[in-house]
Amino acid sequence: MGFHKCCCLFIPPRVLENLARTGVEQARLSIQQSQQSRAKRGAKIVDMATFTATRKAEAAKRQVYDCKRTWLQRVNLVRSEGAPASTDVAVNDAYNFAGKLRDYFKKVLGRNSIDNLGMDLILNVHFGLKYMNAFWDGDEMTFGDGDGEIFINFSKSLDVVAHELAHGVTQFTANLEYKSQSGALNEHFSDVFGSAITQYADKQTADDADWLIGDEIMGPDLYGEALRSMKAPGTAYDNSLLGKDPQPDHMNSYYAGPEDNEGVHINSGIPNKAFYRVAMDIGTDKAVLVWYAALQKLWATANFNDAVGVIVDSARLLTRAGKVPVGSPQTVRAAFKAVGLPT
Amino acid sequence: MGPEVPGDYMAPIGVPVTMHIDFECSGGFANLRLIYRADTAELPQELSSELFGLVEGSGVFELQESDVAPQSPGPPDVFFYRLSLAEGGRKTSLSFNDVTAPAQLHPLLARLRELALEQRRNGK
Ligand SMILES: [Zn+2]
Repeated sequence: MGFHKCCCLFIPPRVLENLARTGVEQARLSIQQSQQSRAKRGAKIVDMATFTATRKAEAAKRQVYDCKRTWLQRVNLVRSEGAPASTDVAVNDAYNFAGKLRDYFKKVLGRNSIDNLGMDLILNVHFGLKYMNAFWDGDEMTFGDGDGEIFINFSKSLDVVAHELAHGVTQFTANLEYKSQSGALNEHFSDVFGSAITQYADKQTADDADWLIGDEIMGPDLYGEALRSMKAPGTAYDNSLLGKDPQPDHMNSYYAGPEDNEGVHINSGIPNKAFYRVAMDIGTDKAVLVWYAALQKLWATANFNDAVGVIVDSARLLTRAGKVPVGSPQTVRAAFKAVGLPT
Repeated sequence: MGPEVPGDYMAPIGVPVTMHIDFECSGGFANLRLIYRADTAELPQELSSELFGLVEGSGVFELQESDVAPQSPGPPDVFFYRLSLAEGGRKTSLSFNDVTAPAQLHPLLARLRELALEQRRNGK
């Protein structure tokens, strides 16, 4: 049951902070994000059950809202779980992609929706006017239509929708802080799931995948460009409108400036390249098992070195369990070494 | 809307009012960095009035930094904004993001984003 239609309690921020501090899993919702959601939508009511350990599993129902080109979320509920297709392509894309993502997490990774408790999947489409962005705000996904020239509808791409949903998964697992290296890891995990799920859905292997992120949402002005390349970070675009892809593919060109929350979408190129190398060696399906295991063990302030340690250790444990090929820990170590990690 | 409440901003008679705009929109899924700086005195009349109208409609001068400043980084992929406006005796300088900005501010932000891209297209 969604929080908007059940008996709810507003939880004081201090209670949330204490719950988070004492490590209650369901309280690991970013406190800041909840604060922002409340600020944005007035006193947005938070389901008490979300923050207790006794919450029952839900059915991960999809709800697609049309924002009707306003700057508000959840304006019109246009397609709920099981409802017939809409006449609006963006609504159906969001609905169908969310279904694929839910199935992938369940079948391949054994995860029951974003929070592993069957949380409903809320998707907002047609947000704003010419809004060239998509985001996860702490409890739902929101997609703009793009300007129609540089970008088209952001909900048109499975890897974009997967990327945003994966931010939710990260929030309910490692809850990586969205700045500097932990933020770049947050971005990295979203790109990993975006690519892995696209390859799974399109029945591609690491070898024949394009490893591009965002190529499906480029509009007529920049058709053929992409936003990120996991295979060759720094090469996704180079044009007068967007400039040049700033992603490094090695620690020796690490971005240390203040922009983009200290480079969360920039330095993610470094672990992205390492994931690509591992996937080319053991297969994307196996590599993603290792990364997902690691995501569940990482913590909010983990840096690149921490992540390397946890990912290698996850590879070792999965090798012992017979889930990934013998030699996977060595492959992972070599892939990170090739991008200059650990430092 | 009655005739005494015009849609476009009207300067007090005899006082030429110009506005200085300094806008930056960065980050987001695409990690954009869009900058627009302008003095309305140097803009075509139509655009200048449009911007005055959007600024008035946004209520930006009534916003306090503490109302809109993000308390911590994130949430993921929202745009981050810096907006400074100076007009007559009024001045404001704010930082916020897509979810901390009130809905009525967004039309102004969207237009400034568009103008930043237009400038880039024209090679400025
Ligand atoms: Zn992201």
